[in-house]
Amino acid sequence: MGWRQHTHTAALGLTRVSAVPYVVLLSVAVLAGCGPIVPPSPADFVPSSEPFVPLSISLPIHPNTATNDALVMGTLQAEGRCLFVVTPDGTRLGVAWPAGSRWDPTRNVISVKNVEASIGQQVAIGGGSADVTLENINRTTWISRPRSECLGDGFMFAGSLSPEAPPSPAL
Amino acid sequence: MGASNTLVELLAGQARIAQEVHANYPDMGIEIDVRTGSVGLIGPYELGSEELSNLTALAGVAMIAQVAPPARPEHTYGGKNINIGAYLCTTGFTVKDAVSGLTGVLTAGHCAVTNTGTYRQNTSISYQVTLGGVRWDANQDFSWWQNASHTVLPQFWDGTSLRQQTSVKSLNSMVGSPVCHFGAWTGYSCGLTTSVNYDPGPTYCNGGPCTPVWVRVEDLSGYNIKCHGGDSGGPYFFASAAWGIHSGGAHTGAGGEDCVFTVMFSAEGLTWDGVNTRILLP
Repeated sequence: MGWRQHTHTAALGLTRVSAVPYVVLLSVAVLAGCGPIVPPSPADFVPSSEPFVPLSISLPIHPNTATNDALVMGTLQAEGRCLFVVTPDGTRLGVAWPAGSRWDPTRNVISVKNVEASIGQQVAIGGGSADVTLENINRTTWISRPRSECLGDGFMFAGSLSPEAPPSPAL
Repeated sequence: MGASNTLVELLAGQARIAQEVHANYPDMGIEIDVRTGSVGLIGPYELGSEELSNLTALAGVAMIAQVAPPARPEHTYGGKNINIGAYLCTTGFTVKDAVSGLTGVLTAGHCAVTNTGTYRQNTSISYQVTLGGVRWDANQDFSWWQNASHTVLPQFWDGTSLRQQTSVKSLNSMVGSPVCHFGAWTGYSCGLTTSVNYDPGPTYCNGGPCTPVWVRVEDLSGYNIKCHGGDSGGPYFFASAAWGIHSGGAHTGAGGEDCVFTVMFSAEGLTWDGVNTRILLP
């Protein structure tokens, strides 16, 4: 095996992450659609005292903020207060969803950039892997901070959600 | 004829000889060689002067020929799919480690969640690859993958044909120039390079901040650059020059067309921070 370097410090165990307070930061702005930056509405925030609010939401500045473009396909699965993407090999991925993402508790539906998906649905998520470190969590501005139990077997920052992936023209 | 031919003239010449070359020299590839201003033939045949002269007359532009192993389906080249754990990405360019001499193929660093992956050339040919190295930090986003039993060619798939990668574009010469990329989910598309000092944001680089060394390619008028999950790692190129690989994009929706701009990790960035990975050149 060759070398491996992910340089945003070492991976953090779940025990240490659980010591991080679940703070909802209000000093962020969310851009609705492609218009100007506007203050976030209360619905953009997910208080940690809610009985089931599964979304960790980051990237709050602007929809023109870039995200990585790897693709993960799996099934949306709710566990406790967490929403995971479970891949065909059983990997449970925690996800930081992009700003503007909403959770509808009455329908158990997530909405990302006007695309909706419900629990149990097959989805394709565009984004990239990220090392879950205390340093990264602390310096990221969160609308809804990820809970320690929701970090899963791996963690990704998502930029888009599709009900299903289009066919790959490379194959 | 000669170096005074325009790119349009060279492309027309390439098209004129394609049928003849494919019929008589099935293992030869055809490319535009911007270094010499000619149409190049690459493959296992050593063309005689008369054969080359006849093809030159048919093309109507200057031609050169280069002997190289034929591109076979089981060989490794860029622009194909790679699965790493749950992550689906695109391979970029083939590379060589300047110290060990080992060769392999690039993709994005944020795809490298395990030490083994599957290189998928098409629906019937795929094989396991192992991690050669990965960097995913404030200024680099790449990983490279190897399988010693497969020949690694200095070529990449552009969505239509295999191209030879003959040079590396310098970072500071990119701004204001058009560039094209291939993604396993959006195929071939082009945009305009507007910045080589882009900082993608506070969480973009492995969940943390970035240094302003990323390349931004915009979907401006006259271009139609696309991006979608699964495109990461795919090659950015113009003619036969390797520019970099796809790192990410700004999306307004779920479609490949909902792409405001893309973020490229430059091939020149492979030389930073003591990394020995280099684009494989003929």
